[in-house]
Amino acid sequence: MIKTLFTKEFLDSIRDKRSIFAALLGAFLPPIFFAAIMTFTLEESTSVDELYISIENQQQAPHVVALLEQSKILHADMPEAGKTFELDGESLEHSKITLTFADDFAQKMEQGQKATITLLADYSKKGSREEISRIKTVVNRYQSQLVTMKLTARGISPSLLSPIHIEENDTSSPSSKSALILGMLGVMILVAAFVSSTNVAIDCSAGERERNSLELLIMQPVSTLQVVIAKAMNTAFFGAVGATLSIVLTALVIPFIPLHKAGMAFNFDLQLGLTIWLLLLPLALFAAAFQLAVAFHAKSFKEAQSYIQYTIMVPVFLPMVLEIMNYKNAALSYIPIFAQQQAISQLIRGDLESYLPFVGGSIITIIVSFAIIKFTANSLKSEKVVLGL
Amino acid sequence: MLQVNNLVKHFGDIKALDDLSFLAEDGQITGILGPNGAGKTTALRVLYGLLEAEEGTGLINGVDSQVSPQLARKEIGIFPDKFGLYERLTAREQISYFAGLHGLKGKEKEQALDDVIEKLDIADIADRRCEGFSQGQRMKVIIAQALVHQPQNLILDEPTRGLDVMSTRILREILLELKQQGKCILFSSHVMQEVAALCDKVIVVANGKVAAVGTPQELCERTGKTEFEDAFVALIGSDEGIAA
Repeated sequence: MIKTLFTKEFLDSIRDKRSIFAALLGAFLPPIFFAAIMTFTLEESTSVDELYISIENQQQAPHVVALLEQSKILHADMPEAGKTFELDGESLEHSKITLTFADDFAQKMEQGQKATITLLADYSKKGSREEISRIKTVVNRYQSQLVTMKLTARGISPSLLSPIHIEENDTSSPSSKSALILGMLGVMILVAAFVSSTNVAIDCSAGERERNSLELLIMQPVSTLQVVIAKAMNTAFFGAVGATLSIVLTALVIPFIPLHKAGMAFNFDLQLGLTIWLLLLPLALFAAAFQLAVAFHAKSFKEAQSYIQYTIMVPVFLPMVLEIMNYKNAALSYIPIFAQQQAISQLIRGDLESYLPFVGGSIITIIVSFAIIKFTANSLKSEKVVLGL
Repeated sequence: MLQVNNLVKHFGDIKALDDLSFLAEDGQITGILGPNGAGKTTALRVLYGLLEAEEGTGLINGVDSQVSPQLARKEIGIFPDKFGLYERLTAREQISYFAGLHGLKGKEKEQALDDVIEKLDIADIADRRCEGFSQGQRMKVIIAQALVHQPQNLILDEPTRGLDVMSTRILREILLELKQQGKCILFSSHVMQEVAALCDKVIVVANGKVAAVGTPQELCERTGKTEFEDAFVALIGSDEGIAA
């Protein structure tokens, strides 16, 4: 009986373009989204952009200009209007900062007198402080080199100028740096299990009622429990396929994320992928049971959509918050969704101590899913739910 | 055989069924005639075991549908009030699904499918998806899925609604043939001519109660009217809104 019910549900869903599209979107979007954000953040944090300023009287201090160029601070003529100028056919932004060496700069330097550099900038402009300090750093470095050389020439140790030495040590290890980022990856895969099955869940519950075929189905000699189990199996199947695709895609995109730029190393191997996959199967069932319960209690397809939009916040945002806080508690391993989040998070970080809580968590997830299915089946006996009153 | 005894059912403050009883026998077409909102669909839903009545019983071949709905439903084919086809399935898959729900399997199921498809003359649309079917084609698919397991009882809730003349005639022929086979057919309608032309027994329902029972002729004689429509108006009280 379940086979007959399931076959029909599956045929009905697999031919629904919207369901297929939503499932694929749910599977593909999270990893791509993740990869894009990661790549962007890493590029942003590690690379320094060229800064274009106007440097007047360059012939007075070719050394300083060379040093500035090494630090990617380059000369460009001040654009006549606007902020951008053309260079090799590319449109670039000018910082509107002017650095002018005094006319007697070279002469004064030679005589060992104070030479003047004028820095002309709008200090209130957004980001100008950072740009100015970049320029000042270069000039100061040149200055201190000069001082060191002059003192050395006079037989004085340059260390007199800096009696204190600050030693900086970064204690973050490559794996702990990547932990938060990779933890987010785990949350993304969790989300796929939910999002991929949402449309199927709504279509076969609120949708089926809206198309007037639910009532006729309930009038057949089948129990509501059989009906809901078949629908949950089908919905879970889509969630599981979505999660599987998501894991595969994640494994494929990870090599393209420039993790090495942030000094991270992460190996998404087959064993890790399979373990995560096994953890997600009970979650797909839970997601199906949960979304079916919500959708059956909505009056229409649209209402079901908006209910699920809100209820899906729970499985999406709570694990994300826990992930950011890096909150760990043994009890969490026995609550559906959190069990999976904790397990995946620990697996990815490589600090999983025992599989036992997660086997327990998976079993509890399955039990809770069946309890929700039973609840939905019972409520299908009520005329309110069947007729959508 | 279909039977309901003393059904009472409220929706909020509204009394939908008020001590309603009737009997539909094998080898007969029994019509339930009543204005919109008389309680026809509600009574049938109680009979399927879909709704629970506060009082009374619904019996299908003697099985109480409130007590063991699944057993009782095995003996009926239903043409429901609102019917939706699975638009993404073909007609054959749709009928096959319902055959499966009634426990048909393998060769037996295929044979039943072939028989019912031939009988309703829908071989040309059997392998097309249901989306885009006309009302007449939809009606035939629904009848086919109601008959595929060869139930003793067939219940039709306003079957001719939205059908053209040709489809209505086909339906009428099918019902008469089933009657010849000794099946029990119960059908609700608010269309007078249809009931008068087809039914051996008419149960007139109004306000959740049975207003009269008899053959169309008997009802006309009893009210002293020559036209069945006039008889109907006289039976349910002239202040009722009815659809001709």
